[in-house]
Amino acid sequence: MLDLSAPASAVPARGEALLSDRKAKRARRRRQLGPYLFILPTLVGICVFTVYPLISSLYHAFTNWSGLGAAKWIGFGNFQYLFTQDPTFWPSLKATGYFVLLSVPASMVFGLALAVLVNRAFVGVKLFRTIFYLPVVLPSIAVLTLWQYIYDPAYGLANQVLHALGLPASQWLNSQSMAMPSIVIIGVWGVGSSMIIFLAALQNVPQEIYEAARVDGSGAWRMFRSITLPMITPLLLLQLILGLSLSFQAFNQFQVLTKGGPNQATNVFMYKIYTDAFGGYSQLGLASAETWILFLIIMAVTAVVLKSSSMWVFDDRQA
Amino acid sequence: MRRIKGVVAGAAGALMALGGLTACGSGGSSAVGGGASGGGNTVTLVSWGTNEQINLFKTTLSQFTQKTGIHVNIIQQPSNEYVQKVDAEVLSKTLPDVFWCQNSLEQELGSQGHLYNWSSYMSGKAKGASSTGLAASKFSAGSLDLYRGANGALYGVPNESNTYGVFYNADLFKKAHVPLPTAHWTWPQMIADAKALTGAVSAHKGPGMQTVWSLLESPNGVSFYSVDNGGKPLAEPSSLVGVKKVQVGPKFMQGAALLRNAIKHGWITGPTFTGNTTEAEFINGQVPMVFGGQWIASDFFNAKPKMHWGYAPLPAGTTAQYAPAESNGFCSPSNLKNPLATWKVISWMDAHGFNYAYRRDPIAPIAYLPGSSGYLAGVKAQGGAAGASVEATVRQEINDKDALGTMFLGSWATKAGNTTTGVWNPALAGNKPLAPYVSKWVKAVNSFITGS
Amino acid sequence: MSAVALGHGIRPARRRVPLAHRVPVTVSRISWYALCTLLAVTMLVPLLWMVSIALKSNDNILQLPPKFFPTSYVWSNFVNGPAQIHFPRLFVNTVIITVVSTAGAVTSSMLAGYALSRLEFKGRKVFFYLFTFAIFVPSIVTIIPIERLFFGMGLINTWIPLILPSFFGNPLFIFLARQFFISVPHSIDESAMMDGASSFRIFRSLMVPLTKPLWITMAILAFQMSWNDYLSPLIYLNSPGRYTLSLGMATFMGTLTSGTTPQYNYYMASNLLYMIPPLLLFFFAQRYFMMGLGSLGLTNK
Repeated sequence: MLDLSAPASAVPARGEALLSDRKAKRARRRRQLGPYLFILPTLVGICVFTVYPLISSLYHAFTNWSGLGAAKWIGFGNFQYLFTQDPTFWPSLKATGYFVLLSVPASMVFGLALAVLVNRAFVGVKLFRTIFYLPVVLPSIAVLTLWQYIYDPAYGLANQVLHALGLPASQWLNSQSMAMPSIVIIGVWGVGSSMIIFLAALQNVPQEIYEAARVDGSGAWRMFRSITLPMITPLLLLQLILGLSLSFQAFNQFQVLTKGGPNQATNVFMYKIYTDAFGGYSQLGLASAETWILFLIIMAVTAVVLKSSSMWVFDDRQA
Repeated sequence: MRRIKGVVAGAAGALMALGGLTACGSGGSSAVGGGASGGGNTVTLVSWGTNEQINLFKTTLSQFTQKTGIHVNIIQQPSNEYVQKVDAEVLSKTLPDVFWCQNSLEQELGSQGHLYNWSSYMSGKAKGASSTGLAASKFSAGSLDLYRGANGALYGVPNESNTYGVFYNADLFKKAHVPLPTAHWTWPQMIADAKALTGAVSAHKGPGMQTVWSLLESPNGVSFYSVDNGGKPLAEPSSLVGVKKVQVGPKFMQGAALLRNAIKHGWITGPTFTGNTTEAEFINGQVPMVFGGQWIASDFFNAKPKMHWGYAPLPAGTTAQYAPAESNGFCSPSNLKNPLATWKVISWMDAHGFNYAYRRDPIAPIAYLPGSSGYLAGVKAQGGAAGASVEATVRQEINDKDALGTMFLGSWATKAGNTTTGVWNPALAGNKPLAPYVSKWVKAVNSFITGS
Repeated sequence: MSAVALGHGIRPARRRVPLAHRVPVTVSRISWYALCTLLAVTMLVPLLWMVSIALKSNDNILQLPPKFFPTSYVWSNFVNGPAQIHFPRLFVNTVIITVVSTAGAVTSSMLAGYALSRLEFKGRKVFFYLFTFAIFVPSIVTIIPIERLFFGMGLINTWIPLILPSFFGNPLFIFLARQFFISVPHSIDESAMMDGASSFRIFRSLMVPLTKPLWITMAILAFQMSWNDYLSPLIYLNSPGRYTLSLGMATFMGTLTSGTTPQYNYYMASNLLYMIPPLLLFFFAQRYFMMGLGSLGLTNK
């Protein structure tokens, strides 16, 4: 019999209490599980498409696997070959280091310079920004073929420009000393995406700081050096890390333009891995060992850069 | 926004289904695999040829279909990353009935048991094989051996062959008062010509000869000099299949020294010359001599250069004039379902197909000599002294009874290649002492051979 | 204390006037335009060169010195070149594969990026490092193991291996997402949560519209990556009817050891057509793209 005199907000009956408690628990569990569902596809993806191949190649690095069929365990045989018997291993690392040392700073400097250049509100700047980004969108095979003709020692545009400036002609890609710088120049030409990223960073620096400096009579260069650069160091760090990782894995331009020559001047490690893997007789075991070496190098360099970052990266939380 | 995402998701699902359906039903693009698709009467052939070549193959194969009732489905595959594609087909067991193959890939796959053994068909012993008439004796010297594996198994049937020689600019020769190369010119004559023509082009005063193919200055190239002059080859057998060791003798060192001297003086480009723009420069009359394979000639014919030019063979030595044995091949998977039909296709292509196709688009002679007549006629028809010159040189080389392989065909070849790059090339370029580095090279390669 | 105040005749201390104030504005503006134009020309020359090669006739291609202007304008190359590789069919194939892949990549990466930057859960930081570390793994390592995986499942000669992986997250995009989400105020999440919305609801109705530059950037990059992908279509597709444009382009590049120079004029003509969709996409979504990429430059953590 219902007691209609009792107030509605009286203590609920025992059955109802259990029901709402269960609902609350379910809602809480959903809240706890929810995020995991969001990242589940990616988690599966990383495990299947990154971790599994990585582990598999680590195993194969210790075999003489040809890519098909059985793999015979040879212990450190591949590494022994690379470090002591392969006359292309150390020159390849040297060429890679040379490429990285040239191309990463070059693309950062030119990317930043271009960004500074287009960081104006002049009429037509948007068009210029698009045009500067254009090389990034062009298909690389077409671009590389064209650069091959630009660098032609006899008739290419490059030597014609040198001639017009009164400078002696160069052999460009055919010269042992100029081959790598020639390839780096192509990278600088395609620096559009760095430019965009730097541009946004530049626009993110608060104008008040510049105003205050201008009142004090600081020149443009002084402002750049003391305000702009420190403020964008977090981005410089990011660009540095990504740029290093990408340049260690650079390969396409070497395959099309120089094939590692002349005399191993441009025989970067990624190209060596590729020719060892698929040129002539496939040597996937050896290539796996080389890939792991490259991977460890990239990780080591990244770690060093990250460690040093606390010294030069400006963190505005500490300001 | 939500709606757009929903639409995209829905469209995605629909399109994937659609993609699956249309792919199944699209006519004329049946899936590749095992030969079982046409009930034994369809053979799938994969080629890396250009669109033009594929069309010519289609025409000649339709004649084949009329004659035999066997339908051939020819599929074009890009040549870029071809090895990865074939490897993928081996892994997924979807190798086509017959496909174009490089020698090294054929040897590797054959030794691992992935390829069909054509021995019984080539010898005529298999049922129905003799009717096709593809006789082993009519193949150019050494070419069949290139495709034999251990215990004589034949894992591929050679098709396009390569010849090597020197393209020369006759006008520049005349201007420098140097007699033109002849069919049996010698190694010293070749070097002397290069020397005489160095600096002959006022525009850039470059070397007399540019090498667009690394064979000449490689160990295998110097091996030619050795056998031409009565010495021993670098390795045996001459097909370079199943090599047990490499060795260099005095004639070999003589050849190496000859080339090294020429490179050092700047008469010939060095071992790592990339030669990216040499062809274009030759067409424009800027290069006196170009070492390369006969396939470059088709570029020259297409460009119709304004100068007089010709093609001279690999030079002769004091005792012989060896020609290269290098060939691509037709390969089939080991689980081939319809070997007889496939064999008929291969035989047709080698005996008739290339005659038709390369008469109209001359690329390369064929290892099966009767199948080269089309190519030779096609080259000659390109006209002029140049056409006749290329035809004569190729004809001479493919009919040469003395032949030598041009590349190592063993699992140790990759490591040997690295050693050539790092040890041999600097020695030949003159940057390192010749004798010690050559013996270093020999020692290293032998250790790879025994270790494989 | 200025010297003027001290007395008469004493010259006031000279202040260094920066260059920007001394040089008249018009000169600096003109030199800016001149420099930009010069750079723009160097960026555009290769594109114009492609067009010039595309218009050349067969015997003009290997000409040296390379003449910029063809002797005869063969406009039919734009028809004949693409026709050789059955361009329309490949175009449709590529569009389907690319659009679906892009949708998958954007969706999975947005979900993960949102969760990693806005939701509190255990191991969040570990997962983030795990995901972004994948950026450093050289891709050559992944080819054959993944091949075996797909082949083992019988997935050969279908588009599924080309599309499926994109539905499982992209490390670079996730990193980009996390950076971008920093700029979205937390107050929005908080007020929505107080209203009782689930995280998915917040994501779908609030975050996605707010982060338009982000997923447009992802879409542009994913589109470019899928549109230009060569190796995966090569490995997984056997029937030419199912090929993508990247494979079609490669068939122009001539044969292996015994081959001819590619037909550059047909190749460039087809390539120009091949380039148009990603170029158009970038052109129209440019503003968002720059905002999206630019988020990498945001520093307020």
